[in-house]
Amino acid sequence: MPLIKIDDRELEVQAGDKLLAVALAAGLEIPHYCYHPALSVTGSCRMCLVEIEGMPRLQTSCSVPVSELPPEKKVDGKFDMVVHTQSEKVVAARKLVLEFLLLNHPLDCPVCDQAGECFLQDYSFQHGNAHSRFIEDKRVRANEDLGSGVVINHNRCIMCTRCVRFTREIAGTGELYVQNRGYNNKIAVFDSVPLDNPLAGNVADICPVGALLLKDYIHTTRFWHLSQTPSVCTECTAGCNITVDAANNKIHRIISRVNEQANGHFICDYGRYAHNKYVEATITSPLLKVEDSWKEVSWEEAYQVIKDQVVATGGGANLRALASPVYPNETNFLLANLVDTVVEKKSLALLPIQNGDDQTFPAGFRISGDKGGNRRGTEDMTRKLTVKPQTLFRGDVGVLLALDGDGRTAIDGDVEKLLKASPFTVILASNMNKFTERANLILPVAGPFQREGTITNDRGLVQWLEPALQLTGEAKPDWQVVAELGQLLTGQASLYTCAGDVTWKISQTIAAYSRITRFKLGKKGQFVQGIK
Amino acid sequence: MSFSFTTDRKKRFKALLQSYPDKRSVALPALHLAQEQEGYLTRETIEALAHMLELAPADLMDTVSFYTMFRTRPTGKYLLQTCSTLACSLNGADQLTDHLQEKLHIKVGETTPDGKFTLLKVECLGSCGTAPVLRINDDYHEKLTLGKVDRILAKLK
Ligand code: SF4
Ligand code: SF4
Ligand code: FES
Repeated sequence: MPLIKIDDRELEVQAGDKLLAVALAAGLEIPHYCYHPALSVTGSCRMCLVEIEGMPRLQTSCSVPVSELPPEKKVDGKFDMVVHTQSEKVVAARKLVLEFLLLNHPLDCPVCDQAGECFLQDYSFQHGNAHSRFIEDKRVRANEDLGSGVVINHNRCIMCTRCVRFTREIAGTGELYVQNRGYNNKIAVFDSVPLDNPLAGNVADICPVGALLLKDYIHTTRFWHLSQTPSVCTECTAGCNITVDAANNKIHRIISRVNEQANGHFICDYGRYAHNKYVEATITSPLLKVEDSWKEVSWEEAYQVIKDQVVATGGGANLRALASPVYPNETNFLLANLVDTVVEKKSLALLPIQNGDDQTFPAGFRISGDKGGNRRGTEDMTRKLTVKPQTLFRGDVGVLLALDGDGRTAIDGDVEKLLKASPFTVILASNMNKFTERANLILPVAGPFQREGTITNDRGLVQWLEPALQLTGEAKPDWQVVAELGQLLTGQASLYTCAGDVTWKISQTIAAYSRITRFKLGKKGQFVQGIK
Repeated sequence: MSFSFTTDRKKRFKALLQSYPDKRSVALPALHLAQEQEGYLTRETIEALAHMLELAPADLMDTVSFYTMFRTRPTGKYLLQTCSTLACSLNGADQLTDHLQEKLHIKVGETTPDGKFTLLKVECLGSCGTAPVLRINDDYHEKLTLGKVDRILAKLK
């Protein structure tokens, strides 16, 4: 393996790897724009220039592969490459590159949404000149709507072509191209055929400057007002990693978070805009249906009603339950436990959730057709107890305890029959939808982006769902409400003080999860046992 | 109007596909072939070619718009190209361009109403030693004076 030296760090690296990639992996910072780890290399922005001993000119580190030298040619008798990233030449070159990139740039940071997280700002500050020698008129172009909710501000574009390569290589749709050349070039779509693919929003994430903007986010807030929560998308079973950016308990945007063992670098637009689906009709208090309208009641009243109904319908033995693949493992585990303790026969099924075909893209990105984000985990938590929904409406049907499906419930014939057969239906939910409308009593619990706990994606990766929003009104954490219901119906005190306690209990109970604890999961998750 | 190659060009296109490592690499010669046939490249032509080469139309348009020798608008029977680069400029290319504009009553980029002449100003024509040059379709006319140009134009029917 070649031995290289970058400034004073010695690194043993794989021959053929690109210098910039190697440096970044070793935690060394070399400024760059056009290079992106998930895209092909173009070497066009010149920001990554470095000095390599023995090479006459500065080299673009993103495109230079590391190779092994024959023993007699090694530098200082041992190195295959000696690289300087801070030499006088490099420092001077960076200043010039930045001056070039900024020639036509409007320097409108005060009104630019990228300000605060912009590489043009950061590098100009760290490596650039405070002055430009360009006194001519700047080129000015109007913003354009590219489609799929993406707008381009041409004036800020530095022509790194990340966005173009993304549509060609990752989405495979190739809507974007570089029109014309030299001074006249710009990012464009072919003859007004818009950007149109379910991954389109990623171009705004990977644009290193404020050129590509999401309509949904433009001028809604400033970057430094956002609190960034690393979390996981639960809109399908792929379990992409996301960062949820919120301010004042409102989500402003969702961006992708890199996790090579889950989504890689990108997310889909369904996940990106998922928060917009859940803003309306948040349930903030227990709701009891009285003569076809909803009456707000207190938690005490709600629990009393449940207790009375259970007694009136033949006791806990007739209880029926629906676990839900949109809720974390902890909640489903506690629900399964409750059923296991109270009911003698198996009387739990999974709530049916919309399911369609997977969509797979050229470079491997996948959107699962299964919209029950935590299906695998829910199955793992309830395996011992689960039956087909059609067995649930046989015999004496008592109170039905159900977790909601966030509006993605597929109310099929079986669920319909179960709802009809049940004399009293209690649904734990956060938002009103077709399914919750059918309840007799709704208990307000954490909604999407408020939930906490573990979820398992369809490849068996267990990840920690970090809540980005606080609960509103009377709503309680979903796991806690199920724990309280357990207490109510079994008479046994709940042992849990937080979701992580339940995670620990799961690790003690279900073999495949024996190594999973909140803190071991970190930000990248862990595979269930038995899976590589 | 959909585009397809004439029988003869279809053969040439097939031969091109054979002589390049992948379809994408055939983009340039295929565009030349199509332009030779159609005179200029329409949206339909580009879409059809992109389909043949398994590229997104935008991807092919990237190439079309990069090279000034690809035309996306109809041109007159005679395409006049003056050079705007250094050697020609120093030797009177600007006067030549002005002269053509006045004589033909069109501006750079326009076509005469009778569809005979189109005037374009392009980057270096690669004939600096014989500046100023004027390219008319595929022919170079070198070491020009205004008088010479008039005589050449008079001969064009
Ligand atoms: S729009 Fe952004 S990503 Fe696309 S080329 Fe310009 S700077 Fe790069
Ligand atoms: S692919 Fe699935 S998990 Fe990933 S962002 Fe889209 S909906 Fe969310
Ligand atoms: S990152 Fe190397 S040239 Fe752009």
